[in-house]
Amino acid sequence: MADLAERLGRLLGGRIAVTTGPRGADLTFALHRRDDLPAAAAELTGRAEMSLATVVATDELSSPDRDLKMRYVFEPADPVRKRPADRFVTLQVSVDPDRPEVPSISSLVPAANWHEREARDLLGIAPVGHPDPRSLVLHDGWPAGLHPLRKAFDGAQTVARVPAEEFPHLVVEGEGVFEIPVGPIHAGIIEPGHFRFSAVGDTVLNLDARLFYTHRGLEKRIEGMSVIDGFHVAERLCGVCSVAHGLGFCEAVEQIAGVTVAPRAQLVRTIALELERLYNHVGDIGNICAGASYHYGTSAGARLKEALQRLNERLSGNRFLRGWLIPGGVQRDIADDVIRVIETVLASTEAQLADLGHQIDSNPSVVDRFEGTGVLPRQAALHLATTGVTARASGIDRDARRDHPHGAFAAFPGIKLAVATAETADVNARRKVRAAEASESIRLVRVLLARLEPGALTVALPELPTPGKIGLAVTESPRGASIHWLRLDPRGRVERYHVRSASYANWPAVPIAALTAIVPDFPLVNKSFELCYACTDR
Amino acid sequence: MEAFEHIAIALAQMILIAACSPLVTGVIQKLKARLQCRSGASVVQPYHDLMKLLRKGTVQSDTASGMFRVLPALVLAATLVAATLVPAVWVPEDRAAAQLPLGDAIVLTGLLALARFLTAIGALDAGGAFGGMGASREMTVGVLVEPVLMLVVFSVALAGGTTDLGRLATHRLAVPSFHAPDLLALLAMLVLLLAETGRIPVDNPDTHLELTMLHEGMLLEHSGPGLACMVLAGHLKQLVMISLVAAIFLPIGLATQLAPYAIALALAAFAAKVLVLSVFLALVESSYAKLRFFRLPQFLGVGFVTGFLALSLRIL
Repeated sequence: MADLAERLGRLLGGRIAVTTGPRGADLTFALHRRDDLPAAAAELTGRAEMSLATVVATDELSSPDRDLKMRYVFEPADPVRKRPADRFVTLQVSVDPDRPEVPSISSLVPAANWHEREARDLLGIAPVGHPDPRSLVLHDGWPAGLHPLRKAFDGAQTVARVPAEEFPHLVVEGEGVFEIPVGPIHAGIIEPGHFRFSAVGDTVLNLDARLFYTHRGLEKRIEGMSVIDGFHVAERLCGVCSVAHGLGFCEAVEQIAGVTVAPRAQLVRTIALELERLYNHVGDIGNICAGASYHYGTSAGARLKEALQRLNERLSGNRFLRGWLIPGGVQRDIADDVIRVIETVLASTEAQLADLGHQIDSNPSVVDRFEGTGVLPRQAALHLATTGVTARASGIDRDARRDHPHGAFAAFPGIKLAVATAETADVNARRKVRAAEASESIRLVRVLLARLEPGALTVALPELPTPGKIGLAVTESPRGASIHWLRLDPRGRVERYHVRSASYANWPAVPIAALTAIVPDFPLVNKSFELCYACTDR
Repeated sequence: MEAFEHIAIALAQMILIAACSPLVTGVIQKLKARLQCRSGASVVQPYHDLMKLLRKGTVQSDTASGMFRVLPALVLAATLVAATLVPAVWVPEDRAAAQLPLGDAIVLTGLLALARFLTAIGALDAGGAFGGMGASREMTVGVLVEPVLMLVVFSVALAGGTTDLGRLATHRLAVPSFHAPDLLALLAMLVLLLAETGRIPVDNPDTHLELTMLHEGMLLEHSGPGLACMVLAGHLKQLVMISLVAAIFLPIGLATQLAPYAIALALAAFAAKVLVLSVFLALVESSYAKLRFFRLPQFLGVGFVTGFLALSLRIL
């Protein structure tokens, strides 16, 4: 990778400073001129074959630099071929607070689209030349020029609404074209999102999705909290990826603190991570059946998920596995007699899940709904830097458990993971990848349980960690890689915490996949992605 | 037979069908729940739902006209009249004596089409996107199913020499026939039954997914007593269709006299027939996924082709 630094330096005429970090194997390039950003990003995503992982904007006006910063974090796009796979490359740009602008890279790196708009909304850093200048996170009625993630903004204040015009949705015009507005309030009890279809009859011409109705300002709320309090917020970013988010936060904290978690705690954490994936995937397969109105599959999925959630409650005291982890280790052990319960539930889940898969595959009316519906072309999945099941069903072989090892995958290199992919990129592909991953999770939990040795559950965290050090942790949630970026202040409290959830990366892919479907198939397409609104909106 | 008496019996049958129709929905829901390993709601739940809706107030879209309030009553009225035409329990013994055209199949088809038309008009009137979508889809299905019903009716009417359902039933009771045209017509009628009752694989009555709705989409803007009328009309239409299949293809047990034992036997036979067809609906609903909307013409085309074959074979 030294040649990458050399190449970038040559390309930018030496206007670059190279450091290692945030982690040992990572590289950070501080660009001296912000106008060099598009060229550097093009080099990374082009010849260096990297993909945008996340963008973190920070307010560092009170630091010696007295600026705002944008950090564009890249990871290898093809971790199977490209070594080392577990290396992040950060492009860091300093933004003048008097002229808070950066050149937009969204035209070159489509995955940067939402990140840049979010930085503009929350920190007032304008992406110059962005192809879609509409607001993203802040909705109609929020006063212009008020940026909540600036340190000067008091999160406790109440902001008065200002009169606003209707949101400018992308509109298709022509004979017979009509608009179907759906949501944010839906007929069923689901999270809020607005979908604006432009359709002719039941054929979809365009879909404009608007999210961030559940933006709670959690990244603002967590600032100034102790790491223990912050952990509880991180766990609650969304309902169904508690372990993945909690583990991401814990590993970021532990990285900064420089502590190594005890082996038993690593195993228990990873068992929690896999059990979370299992109950999600099993429930999601049932939900996909609901999208096709296949009642048997819906009920079977709900039944299997219920058994797993009861197991969750037995293990952690919470059906969503909250409160099991803690920075430094785990709060609860797995007792030996409970291992037998886990094994029983896993065995029955395995058998019934295989049966459900067989029922679906042997029912032509169901397969007909799944096949060829909601195709997400591989190229689009790559361009949007999608992750998780979404990416793997489009033939992209990436899994953070293998590519950015965490938990027991890092502590026990002997534990190998079989990554499932599919090529057809339709609803059926996403269903099959989920089923394969659920089986793999069952296998992994058995392997992890077999490795359990008596030992400590927690390690003490140092009182005051190194100030300014950044923690960067990636965990594979049921929906894909969630990337946690954390920095603590000198008092050991959270200074800035940013999460790029898997759903955040995958949402822009849904309207693309919807274009190949008809209007009544959209719920099925949407359920096959099964993305989360809460951890996208935060 | 006195005309008055005939009218009274038709009205009594209508009341029977109207009173039992929510129960039939409840039974189908219960059967479905059991087939899907759920305990399910009580079979009388649809009555509770109707009572709840009747107690509620009405909320109306700003864009709806005054007609919107009246339409549910009209839809219910059209369906109720349709219910008088189906011989559920009793048919006049003496064919010639029944002079009143109470039971004409073409009138029945027309009334059901009228109810469908009024429902769609109401959905469009409210101005919601889902109502318009539901109406457009429902009318697409309507165009495909109504000819099937006509073909089936004509194919049996040719044999019976009448389009009067009562006389058709007595004819088939007297001369049971299970030849190819009858079986084909029955097959077409079963396809029709799934479509007209708004069930899988055509529609999903249990969905909360607005974008997938057909019939439910048209009801979204209705509320309170208006919605109760629409829902009751839905229950009624389902039982009317079930009774129609039963009357044409399984006329066994129909009472021809007004003797108490005959009526009791006919009621039991009616219950048994409805239960058989309810099991059929519940089984289909639990075994299949809903068809992709653009595949519906193929499925309903099966009904059309079998109906057409039934009629052709009858003529040949």
